[in-house]
Amino acid sequence: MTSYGKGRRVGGERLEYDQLELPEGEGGDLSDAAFNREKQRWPLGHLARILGVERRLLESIPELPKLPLSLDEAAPASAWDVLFRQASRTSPVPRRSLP
Amino acid sequence: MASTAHGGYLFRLERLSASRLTALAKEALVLEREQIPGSSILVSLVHPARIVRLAYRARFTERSNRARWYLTHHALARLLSSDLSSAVHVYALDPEELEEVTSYGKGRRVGGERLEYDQLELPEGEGGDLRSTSMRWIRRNWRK
Repeated sequence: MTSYGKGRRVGGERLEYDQLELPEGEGGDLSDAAFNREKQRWPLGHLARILGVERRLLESIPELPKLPLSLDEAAPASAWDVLFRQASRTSPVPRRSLP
Repeated sequence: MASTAHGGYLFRLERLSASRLTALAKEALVLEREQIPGSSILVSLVHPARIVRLAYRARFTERSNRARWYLTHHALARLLSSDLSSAVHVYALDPEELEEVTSYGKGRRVGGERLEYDQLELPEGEGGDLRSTSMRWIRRNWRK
């Protein structure tokens, strides 16, 4: 943008978009929203939709409790039963077809 | 935001005994030419969707291989999908580089997709302003 007054240049400024650094804070929030929208279109986002869960739930899988079943010995059926009991207390999510 | 690389097998919970699961997990390792002694299979339940996630805990899935091992080792998904009525999905998520999902049904590959973040084309609009800096944008956001 360049400004003129009484026939003379009185000011102006120029911004080249590829030199733009998005600020943290409000600008950062905007890019977070764009990032999260974009991720829904990536492979894990598509899988989350098929499974009926949010993508962020799949991203945070390492934080879930884990039941280890050793492959060196007989599997402890009791621990496995606990897992099934846990699951039976939840409502099933409707199935969706693969894209 | 998760920044840990991880991978594994995902499927809807169905009647499957612990002994059958461990038998299939061992059979898959034989097919993959990996060692069974000292290996475990980790089972997690993704609430409330009744989704089971399996991952191997073994020397071959340590550190940098937590996600990438699952890019090329799909035998357990193939075997499980023959036993189960619904699809089994193998996923690998490496926030530094890529994510990939491959789906199996009735013992056969039925779909899949892979995204390498440095190949990403950001859309027009808000993200379009950042097209030339997509990797920097991704890395900054993953690390939040």
